[in-house]
Amino acid sequence: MREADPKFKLKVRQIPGAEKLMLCFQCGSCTADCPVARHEDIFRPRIIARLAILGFKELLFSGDLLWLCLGCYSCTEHCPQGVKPTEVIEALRNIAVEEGKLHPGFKQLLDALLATGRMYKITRMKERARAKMGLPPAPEVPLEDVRKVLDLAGLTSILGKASGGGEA
Amino acid sequence: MALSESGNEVRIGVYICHCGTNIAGVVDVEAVRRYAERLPGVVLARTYTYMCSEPGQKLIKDTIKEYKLNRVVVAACSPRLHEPTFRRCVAEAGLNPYLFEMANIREHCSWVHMEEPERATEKAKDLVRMAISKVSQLEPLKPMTVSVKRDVLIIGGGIAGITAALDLANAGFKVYLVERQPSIGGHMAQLDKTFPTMDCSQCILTPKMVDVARHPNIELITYAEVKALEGYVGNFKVKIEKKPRYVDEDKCTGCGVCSQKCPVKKIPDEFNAGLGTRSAIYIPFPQAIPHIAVIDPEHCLYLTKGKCRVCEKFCQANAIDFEQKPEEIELDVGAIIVATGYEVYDPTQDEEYGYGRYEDVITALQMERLLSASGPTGGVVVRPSDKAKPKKVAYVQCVGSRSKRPGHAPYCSRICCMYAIKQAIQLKEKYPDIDVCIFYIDLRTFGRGYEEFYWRAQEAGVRFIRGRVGEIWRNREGKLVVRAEDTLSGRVLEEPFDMVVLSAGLRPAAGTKDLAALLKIPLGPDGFFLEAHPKLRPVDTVVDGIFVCGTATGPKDIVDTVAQAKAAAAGAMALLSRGEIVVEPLVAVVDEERCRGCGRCEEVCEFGAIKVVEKGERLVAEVNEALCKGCGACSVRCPTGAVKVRHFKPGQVLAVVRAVRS
Repeated sequence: MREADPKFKLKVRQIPGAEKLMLCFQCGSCTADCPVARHEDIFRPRIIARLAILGFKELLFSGDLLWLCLGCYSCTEHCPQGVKPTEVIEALRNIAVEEGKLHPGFKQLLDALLATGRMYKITRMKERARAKMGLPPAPEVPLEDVRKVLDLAGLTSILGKASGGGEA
Repeated sequence: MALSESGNEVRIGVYICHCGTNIAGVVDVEAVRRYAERLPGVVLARTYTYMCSEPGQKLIKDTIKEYKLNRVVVAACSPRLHEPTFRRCVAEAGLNPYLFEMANIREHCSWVHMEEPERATEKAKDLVRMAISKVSQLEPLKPMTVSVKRDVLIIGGGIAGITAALDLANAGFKVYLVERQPSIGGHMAQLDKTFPTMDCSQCILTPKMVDVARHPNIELITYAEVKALEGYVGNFKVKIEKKPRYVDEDKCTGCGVCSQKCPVKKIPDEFNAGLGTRSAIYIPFPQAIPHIAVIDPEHCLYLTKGKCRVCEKFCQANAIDFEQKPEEIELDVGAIIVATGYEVYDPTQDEEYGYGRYEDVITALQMERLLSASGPTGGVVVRPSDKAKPKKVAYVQCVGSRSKRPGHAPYCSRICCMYAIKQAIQLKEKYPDIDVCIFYIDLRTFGRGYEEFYWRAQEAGVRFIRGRVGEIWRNREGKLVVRAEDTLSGRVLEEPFDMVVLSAGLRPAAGTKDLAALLKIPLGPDGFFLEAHPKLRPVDTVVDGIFVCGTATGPKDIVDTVAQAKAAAAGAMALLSRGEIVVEPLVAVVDEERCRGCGRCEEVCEFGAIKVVEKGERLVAEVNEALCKGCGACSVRCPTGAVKVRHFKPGQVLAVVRAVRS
């Protein structure tokens, strides 16, 4: 039986944006409006809030649950209690990362950022398309400077902690 | 020996209450007693566990007599609780009740300094010393009697106003019932059936409406509004403006021919919540009281363009009168009951529900009119868009309520769960094959018979889905798709329906803010009228003589509305029954020799209670003791010190201040 940590919610609501977490009364407005929930059976902002309040950290930080949020804010706009689920999810992601539970998909994006200075590769096809449209080639990335900035922002240490999240 | 202001010896008894452990648990009451006993003027000091109890009061009365005391200090709870109790007790012992002072050593001491008992005890001693100092300076006073008029004004002719009017009229009081609409009946007249009994609303309401019209003690003033109020409890002067109907009320027989002949027909009908239409001259609904036509000046061809007058041609009773002007009516009443009701939230701003964009998304009040046999479709429920019978109807609960979003109300509107269930049962009874689904967050079926009513809906096959609706849109087939999460199964549903009914919440009636300003009664943060105490005085306002009842103080069902209306009527009866009321004498008093009639007191008085008048050859200020609240603003402003507030005169207040420092 997974352990619930009743003190977890107190930690979450200290993070700016997530202060109203405990006001959630599980109406389901957030999930009803969520564009991701329509297509992904496991993603329910309502359930994320519930797990956070009950303190089921293991369930919360496992799998894709926290990481499918697009940050569209539909849930936050509709929530009648002012819970701001988008920001709660953001807060939970930050806690997850601190505990080394970064999702592998996100880790890949961040690794790419550190390696190339970009999250997405500019392919030769894209360069050709740019030339066709009369656009100059994609600018060079000042990689050393970018790495320095990201390091100062703490990205290297986050990636160092990341065990990759992964399936429960 | 301590002397009072008039130079006589004061003999003070000090009584210190333990209040169980409320005071004695923090303050060392025995130490305070020993301290008080030694102060000048104090003859004796006693303590007791509960001073307000029978034995406590007996202690006070017995010692007053035995020791010939002429002043009493009780150190206990807040005077707001027991000042009247102890004043009565002291009076029963033969002492003037205003030669009494309370020291609040509970709310002002033990309850707020629970962590510091020693300092709390010292503070209690200070408070007692201050009270002793004050009481030495107090003078005997007599309460005043003010005569009151036995007539009552009721503002609002819905079920609350009607109920209060009938109770008062039956008790022999004269009632003026003022209603803003052309007919009484309010929202209850728009309902088809009432929960949980499924009584026909009109059937239980109209007999009362007729009683009101016929009652010799009730004067019904419809199509009229209160415009100004002056005066004070028992003696209010009200100005009412009656709008012109352009129909002579004494001549019109209510035959309705004018309405049939009127060429202007397609005006959205207020009674049918915008679903039906009416003419420019109309009778609001078949059971309207008074059953008299009224002309809508914004749509009448004659009043706007000078043409037509067809109604006049056809009226057999010669009742049309285009020359009618607004009428001003002045009334003198002893009490006022505010029963102005509510209005339904307009969900147009909630774009996710499509109200206003899709014709087939309607409010529950509009559905009520469709269900009603006297409604625009004769009781046949059809889609407004194509008049087809709906096979699937969705109910969306908590629209505009229980929400922190801008434009929404944080409160629960209390009746929507029940009215949705009621309408769902009605739809199932009319159309057994119809599918009705209620999307809810909670089901609040709190009253007597309400939970059983919910079972009835479940047994009738009404579907209930726990999940607040996120969005409604029309698909290519013309169906209204409702998206919600069924939180109990975790599935996100997108289901097509033919019609959607929004259970829109309740708001204060239009004009509530203006009426509150006019009557000088406060509103709560939710915009409804504020009662004097939410638990113990639900139908009083902070203004003596003005009562409030029904949905004017917040959402409630008919049962609670009627109970409150009866309570307000009883309150008015209690106030006025003896023809006079007793008023506290703690009001301003003018020393006419010192007054030079400068009028500065009159400028600062919020209550209009002090005015400069001619007396003989001089101008002096005069206090209306019934209006005066004893706030002291005039006394502060008075440049000569002519105006003082009894019981709080400068000498009396300064005595307390000096006692703080000694």
